[in-house]
Amino acid sequence: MIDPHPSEVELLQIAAAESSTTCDASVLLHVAGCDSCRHAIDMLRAQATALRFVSRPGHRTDDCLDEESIAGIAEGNIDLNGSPAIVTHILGCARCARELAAAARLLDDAEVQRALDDRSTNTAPARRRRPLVIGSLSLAAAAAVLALLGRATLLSKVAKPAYREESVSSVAAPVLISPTGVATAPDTFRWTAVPRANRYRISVFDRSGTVVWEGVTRDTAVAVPDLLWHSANGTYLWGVEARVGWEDRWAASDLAPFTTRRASAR
Amino acid sequence: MNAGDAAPEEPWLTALQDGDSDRAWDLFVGQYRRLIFATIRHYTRDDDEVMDVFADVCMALRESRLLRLRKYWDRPTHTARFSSWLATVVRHQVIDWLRRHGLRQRPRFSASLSTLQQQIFDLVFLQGRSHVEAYEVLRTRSNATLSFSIFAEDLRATYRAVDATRWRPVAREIAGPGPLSLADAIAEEVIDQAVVIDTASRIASALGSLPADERLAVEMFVVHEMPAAAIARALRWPNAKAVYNRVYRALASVREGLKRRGIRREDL
Repeated sequence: MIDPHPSEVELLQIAAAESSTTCDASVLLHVAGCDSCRHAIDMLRAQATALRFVSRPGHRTDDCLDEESIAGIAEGNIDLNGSPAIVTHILGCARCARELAAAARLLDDAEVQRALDDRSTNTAPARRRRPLVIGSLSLAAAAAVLALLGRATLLSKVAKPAYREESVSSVAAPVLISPTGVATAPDTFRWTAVPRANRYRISVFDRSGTVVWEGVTRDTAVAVPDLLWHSANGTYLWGVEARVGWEDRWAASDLAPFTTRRASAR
Repeated sequence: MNAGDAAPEEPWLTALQDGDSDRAWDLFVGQYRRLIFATIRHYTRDDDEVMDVFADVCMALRESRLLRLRKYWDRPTHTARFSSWLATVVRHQVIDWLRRHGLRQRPRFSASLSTLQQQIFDLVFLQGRSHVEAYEVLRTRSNATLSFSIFAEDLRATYRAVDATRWRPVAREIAGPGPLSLADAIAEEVIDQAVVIDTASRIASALGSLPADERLAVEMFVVHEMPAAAIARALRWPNAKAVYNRVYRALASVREGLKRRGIRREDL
């Protein structure tokens, strides 16, 4: 062979990867024509395969690493050189070894990395305003999620460190009147009035929890925006928050689902 | 160490410490929703599943007035940042959910597998058995004449079929990495159950003579596919390249050691 042999690093990278697409083309060309390198790679693969054939995660024991230790090792907070007991355990416990490798892969994920670096951002994974296609299962889940998430979405915007007046939970919340269920041609969101409320904020969510529309009014009704009609048979959840007093305190309604059916006249 | 990233003055934690778990939850979700979604999306990109899993995760975390979150903060010291710990906790929820609602529901691709491959799928990907165990079960239950080489071939085919689907991330979490492709000449020598078990045992024994950190690096990189950079971080080695170099040399020294004891290269 005229070309120099690949380095040990390159040989191991090729051996460890089922696909060689990440390797340099010249290295792959060399390996294709070099019996010695191919053999070296095969030896590495045979060793790895033999070990993988017998690897099996056992059941969790009291000695197994907890989630915090796994996370600490994966992010490099725990120095394994100074933790011989942990090393010994991992070497003898395929379950913990597998957990550790999985946690490390997760924390190396680019999207997870961004979220870890910027976790104070209150944005949803994506504020998409795409056409909606509702699966059969999702509405119940979406309702459950939004029961948890919706209030957070709304209340987190107005969080104040402490309340000295009556709590938000003791203030009457608006009750949604319409639309609910399948709405062939709803043109107005309606809800009950809340005593001392001076503003209402209406939020419409798609099933991924993304806010697709928000509106603010002093009234207890507001027109359904046209954008909700762009896709027929879209399913949404909506809710209303009432601002009571001037301390930026809001009382949130429950969330109600509704499905738009495009009427022929519309 | 003390975890530095979710300091006690964070609003959600302050609310939790004040006993207002509803408000703490609202603030917590507002702050960590993106991380939770990113963790879920590491394993599934299906929008319906993402939302269903998110609901499940939220319910588990909110249970008993945020018991899980409180347990973290009840500890006097911490070995991981709160956010990294949270991602690890959410990961468990995600895998558990996907295992229950996804893989066990017989994904559509499984119909394209041969009978043997479907059995392998059940044993390895659903029951979490090792490859050798799966082989033994198949021989005992249904096919006493099944050769290990045929099994290994179908095992690889099953992995390939799973890898071609959206189930790959979670299936790999449950089943672990698959066998690597071998040249035919080597495979013929190596792919025999007794040889495999014997070889694995010899390699493990030979690895035992290595320093603990090198042995760990080999195990984590070769068997469990831990990223080299993460291994370097955990072992305080300079970088990923150091991991590649030391793992390669460790495996080479294992081979040399076995050769000196009269074991053929083909037995590796």
